[in-house]
Amino acid sequence: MARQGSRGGAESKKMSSELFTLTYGALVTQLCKDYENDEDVNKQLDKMGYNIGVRLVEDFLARSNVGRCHDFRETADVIAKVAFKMYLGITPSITNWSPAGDEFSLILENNPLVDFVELPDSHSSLIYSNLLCGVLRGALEMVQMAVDVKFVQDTLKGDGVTEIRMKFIRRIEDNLPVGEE
Amino acid sequence: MTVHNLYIFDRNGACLHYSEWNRKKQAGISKEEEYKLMYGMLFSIRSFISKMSPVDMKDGFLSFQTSKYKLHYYETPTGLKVVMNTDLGVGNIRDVLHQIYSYIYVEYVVKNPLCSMNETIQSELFRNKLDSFVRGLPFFSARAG
Amino acid sequence: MESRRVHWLPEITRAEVRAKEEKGERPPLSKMAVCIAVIAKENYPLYIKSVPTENELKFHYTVHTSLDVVDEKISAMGKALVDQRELYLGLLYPTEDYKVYGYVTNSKVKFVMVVDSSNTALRDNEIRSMFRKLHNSYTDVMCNPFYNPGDQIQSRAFDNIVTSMMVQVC
Repeated sequence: MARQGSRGGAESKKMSSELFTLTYGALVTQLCKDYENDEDVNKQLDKMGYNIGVRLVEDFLARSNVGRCHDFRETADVIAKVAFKMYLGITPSITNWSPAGDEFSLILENNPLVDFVELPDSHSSLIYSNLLCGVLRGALEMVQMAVDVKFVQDTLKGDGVTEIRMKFIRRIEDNLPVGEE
Repeated sequence: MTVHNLYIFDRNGACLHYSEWNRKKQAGISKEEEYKLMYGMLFSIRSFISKMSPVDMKDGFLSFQTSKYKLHYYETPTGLKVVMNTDLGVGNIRDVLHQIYSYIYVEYVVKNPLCSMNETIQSELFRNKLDSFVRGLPFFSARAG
Repeated sequence: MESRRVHWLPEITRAEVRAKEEKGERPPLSKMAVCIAVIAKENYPLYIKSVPTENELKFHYTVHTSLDVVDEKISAMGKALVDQRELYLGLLYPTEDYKVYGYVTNSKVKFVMVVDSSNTALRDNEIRSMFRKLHNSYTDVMCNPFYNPGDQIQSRAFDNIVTSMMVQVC
């Protein structure tokens, strides 16, 4: 996942996707052991994702040379076609735009985080891939967009596809720092 | 041609990094004061320019110059600002500032989990890389200026 | 292909292996097992399933007995097996009604399959590929982060594979 030092351009180091999937699995199951209930695990995953997102977006901008988006539709396109492709090797489709254009769904035919995973009955409220929500939320917050991200369908729970719903809340305006006249 | 100094500001206006090479004259005020003034000016120029622009512009402002020096400005969509002062002989160095961002800031600060992203950069590695990068620039020359 | 799976070479992904299987590069297997068991390294059962029409206990007994033969085979031809990376042990022993086949992974997990001896259509090659399919499915189970190694296997996916290999015997 990591990019080659300061020499290279956009090439990325290859890494076994199985190692990646298993690493994420180990992370989630360890969280499940450390926390009593699934809601707490979901929260932790979201927090971790957020922390990843605020850094990952810098890497993304450095590598992709994508400028500021003009509207939310453009943002959706960049997320699906550039960002997901770059970091997870998949291209989700964008559907279900709300009439106001402030809400859409990302449909993941195949979620690389959940290869091999079978959710046990005792974890029925666990949102296994919730890390992704945090990543998206953190990354967009850094580019002045407050969004609400959540899973509405998940193949682990028996749905046909995995669907992430994203809702635009507001633009974050940058302010003059305090103590400045 | 020469490079005088370089500021990096985060989205909230905190100065993350400052370094200088061929700076002949100091501002005569404390560094903190100087960073604040610099950021305040940039902030005003930026909002002024986007208000007054007769056409829709994407990149914001790139540089301004006085009779003695030229200030180059680069801002990422995340609000990180890289500011470099050079003498008048230097052309458009947007690419160079982007490289500082993507090859040095992102590599040695963002990807270093021990580096906090909204306070002054302590990383020695970052300083060294930045210094040798700037010294290696074609328009960096110690004897000029 | 099987050694690749077992030794976990990263350059061939599981998806590729699966795609090959789905393309049906070999003819559909005749589904003839009457009992399939997975035995841990320490010789306790991880999974055992038999056709419901028969006496379950009888199969447990058969599988249990077969473990001695497995151990014997491993120690007898142990060196040779390792050299060839051959995991299939072949026919362990025939009884009056059944034939018992064995397979052992490099991590010493054993698969045992009991087949009706009246079923002569089932050739060695088919048994072998059934084992390989089981092994692949077992590896997927091991890769499930919610599965603790050493626990009973409760995976639905694995269960489906096993069920697909068994038919009701009249």
